Amino acid sequence: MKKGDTMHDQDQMKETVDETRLNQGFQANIADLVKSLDAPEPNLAWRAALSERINAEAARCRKRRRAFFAVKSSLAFACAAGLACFIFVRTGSRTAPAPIAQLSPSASSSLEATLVQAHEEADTASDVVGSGLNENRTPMDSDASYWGPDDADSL
Amino acid sequence: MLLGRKRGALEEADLASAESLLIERCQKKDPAAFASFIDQYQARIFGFVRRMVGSAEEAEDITQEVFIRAFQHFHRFDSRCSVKSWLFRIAHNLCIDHSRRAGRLPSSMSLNGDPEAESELEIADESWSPETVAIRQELLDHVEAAVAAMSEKLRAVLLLHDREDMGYGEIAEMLGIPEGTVKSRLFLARAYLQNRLASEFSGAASSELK
Repeated sequence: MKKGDTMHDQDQMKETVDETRLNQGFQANIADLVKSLDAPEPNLAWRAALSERINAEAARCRKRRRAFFAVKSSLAFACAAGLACFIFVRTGSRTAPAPIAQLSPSASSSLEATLVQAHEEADTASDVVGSGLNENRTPMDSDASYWGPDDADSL
Repeated sequence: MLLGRKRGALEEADLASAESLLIERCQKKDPAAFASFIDQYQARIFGFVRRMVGSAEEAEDITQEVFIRAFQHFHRFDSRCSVKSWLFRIAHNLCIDHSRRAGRLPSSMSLNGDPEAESELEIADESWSPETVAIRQELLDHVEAAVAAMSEKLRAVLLLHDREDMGYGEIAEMLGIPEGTVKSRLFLARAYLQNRLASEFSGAASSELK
């Protein structure tokens, strides 16, 4: 019988087969026979090999996930850094310090007056007290103030 | 009675929640959780594949591939079908791929006359006498041979329904065919098996008589 004929038979059967016909007579007997067939089981070596492959696959998945996480986090960090730079540049240009020429005239004159006053006070103080000797800078026992016999000869 | 039914329902709910927990863990690629599915289904999948491909070594390789693929793609599993039918679907697809690669075309099936017109097959009663056991074993060997000689389409439906206790709807969804086709294939598969066994046993009886 050709394959086409078989398919034609199957098409015809579709119309006629109902569940009751499948559950009675020789159909039920054959179903019982098929059910009672042996159940072959794979051996332990097969199971061990399968476990090994599954574990290797799990390790590969973990590694892939870790790499993906690293790439993702570095990408996120780069994006965040870029965004921060952009924001910094934008806000920095807006809050730049005003040029000195733009300072108000009153502020400028008060600074000048303070400087002049400080100078005059320092000048007055040096007139009253005198500059004097600074002990720390010119210690009495330093080489410059010591007169030895050689020095007397040189005179 | 009512209490028993309630307890049964509770046990079923527990099993379902345990399975969904296992599925969740498998989707996170937990090999320990997947191992419990392997333990549960390895014999059935192997038995199905063994009968679909014929060779035990090839069946071992294909069964391993079934579980590896299931583990790799567990995130694609949706709970609309059971894990069992999902695994059988993968197994069936791999068997079909294997036979395509091997260049084996599905063998055509011959039906001589109306299968129901044939005499019904007598199946020996359960008995433990050596003779009965031997006859039964011989009968099962013949059934194995007949199943192996059947076309792949019929064989898949026969094994899934009669050995794996799957429903027509489940098989139809798994194989992507209408339910009516499942029924007709099952009918044809059993009829083929019955015809073949009847002819073999009548041939053996006649040769013994001669």
